Amino acid sequence: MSNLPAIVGVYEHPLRKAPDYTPLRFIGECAAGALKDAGLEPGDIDGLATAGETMAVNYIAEYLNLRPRWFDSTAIGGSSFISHILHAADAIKQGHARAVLIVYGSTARSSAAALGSSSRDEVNDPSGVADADAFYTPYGVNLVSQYAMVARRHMHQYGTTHEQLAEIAVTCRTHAALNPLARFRDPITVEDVIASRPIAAPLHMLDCCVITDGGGAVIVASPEVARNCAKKPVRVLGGSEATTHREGGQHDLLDVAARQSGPAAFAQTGLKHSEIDLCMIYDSFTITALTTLEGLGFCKPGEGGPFVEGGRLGINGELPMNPDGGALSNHHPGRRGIFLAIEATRQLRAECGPRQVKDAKTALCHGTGGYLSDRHSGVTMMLGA
Amino acid sequence: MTTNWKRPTPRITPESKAYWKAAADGVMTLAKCDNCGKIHHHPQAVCPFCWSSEIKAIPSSGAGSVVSFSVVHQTAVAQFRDKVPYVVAYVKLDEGPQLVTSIVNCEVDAVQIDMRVQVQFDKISDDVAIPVFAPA
Repeated sequence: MSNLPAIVGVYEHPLRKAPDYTPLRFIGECAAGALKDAGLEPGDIDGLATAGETMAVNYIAEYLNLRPRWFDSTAIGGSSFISHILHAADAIKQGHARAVLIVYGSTARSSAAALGSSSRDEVNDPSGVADADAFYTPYGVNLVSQYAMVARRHMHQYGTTHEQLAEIAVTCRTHAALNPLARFRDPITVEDVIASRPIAAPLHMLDCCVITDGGGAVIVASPEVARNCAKKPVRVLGGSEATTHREGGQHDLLDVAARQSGPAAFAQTGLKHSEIDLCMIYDSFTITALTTLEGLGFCKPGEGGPFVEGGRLGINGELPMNPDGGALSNHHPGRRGIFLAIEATRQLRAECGPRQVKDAKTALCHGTGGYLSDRHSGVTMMLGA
Repeated sequence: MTTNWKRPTPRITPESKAYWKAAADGVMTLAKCDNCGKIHHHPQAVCPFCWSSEIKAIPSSGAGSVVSFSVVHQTAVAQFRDKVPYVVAYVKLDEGPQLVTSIVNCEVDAVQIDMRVQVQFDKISDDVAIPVFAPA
């Protein structure tokens, strides 16, 4: 298995609020941080991926004075960076690149971006393919309310309770307390989540991710490059991508993309669920994590509520989830996917101190991008120490 | 009775023009493919199921049921800031397709999944009316 491409460098910018930063400065500092972590030089990088707007790859290549021979600007929301890592690994296997930089920076918090409560912005759609958004804007439906409709449907169909959803937020906060960089570290209870103000019922404030500034970078390299890097390489074992949507108006609101990408990723890697030592699940909202765990097959559809109870997702639980504190308590500058891979890599290197998952050898990352209950993407990836 | 909310005007395209025009005339329409016979919404010029271009608008009964809903308490959308709390919902029409919409003429606490609803139209200009749903 040592012939697999590997993550050789990661960097999560320590800042959570940086009014004097631009997204490009975050990108530059994160690129430098990951490069140092890997023990590489700028000239070693021959591939570049990011999920920015149109031509972001061109601007970032200029900012970092890179002349990549392979690039990827797949932009499918918060899951994009997991896709980039899978694509980069395949490109490296094909010989298109030797060391790919995947990088992200955002000033969402300082620019007061209303990430969850703003409308779908059809007017600013540069490609002209978002015509469907016209069927949402007259109703004041926003991102939180679309996820909330999944939560409400799940509660109705399966008897899932708000208390069960709240367990996810409490677990993430417990983990964040062990992460000195996390945005929120004070302990919370299930009662606190339910007593927090409603944003889009049934989702309350503590069911929703934090909003931060920040950035991150990952370097994926060939086995040959990895052999000479500073840290132990973390192999990209494989994964799968999916997108789901309204299906012409016929869709099931609970049919999350993870139901497709999860089983496909397990089949591709040949891994069993019992072999996953920790999972990094995109927790934009509590309901996102719950439906993702079901979709990935850790429990059956509808059983997510009982599954997340009883500390199962804790660092010392049966399936440790988001030991960094997740989007719910640690970090969410808008597109969290890259941080899933960064924390999974640090865990598999056993460099996480008090929040280290013991004997972590295999990690699963799953990114969700877009609007649950509606068109969204899901990308599942497995990493191995 | 409709809400008379100053709802944002949707961007109307050649593919959606007939839908919004019918709504302005008080008719909810769906798109039906003459090739595969399936009904879809929102209207597309190409069938999402068989990719045929043989699409016709058909009238909908405007009757349906609430599949799910959320009560919005915080919004960054200017036109809705003074409307909170308000209800957004997925309504499944009796003809099959479901759509995101508003539930109106109903206390926010009274909305329930499976509640029967009927279309109404919020006229926002001479050319555009927005289909919304009220308890049947």
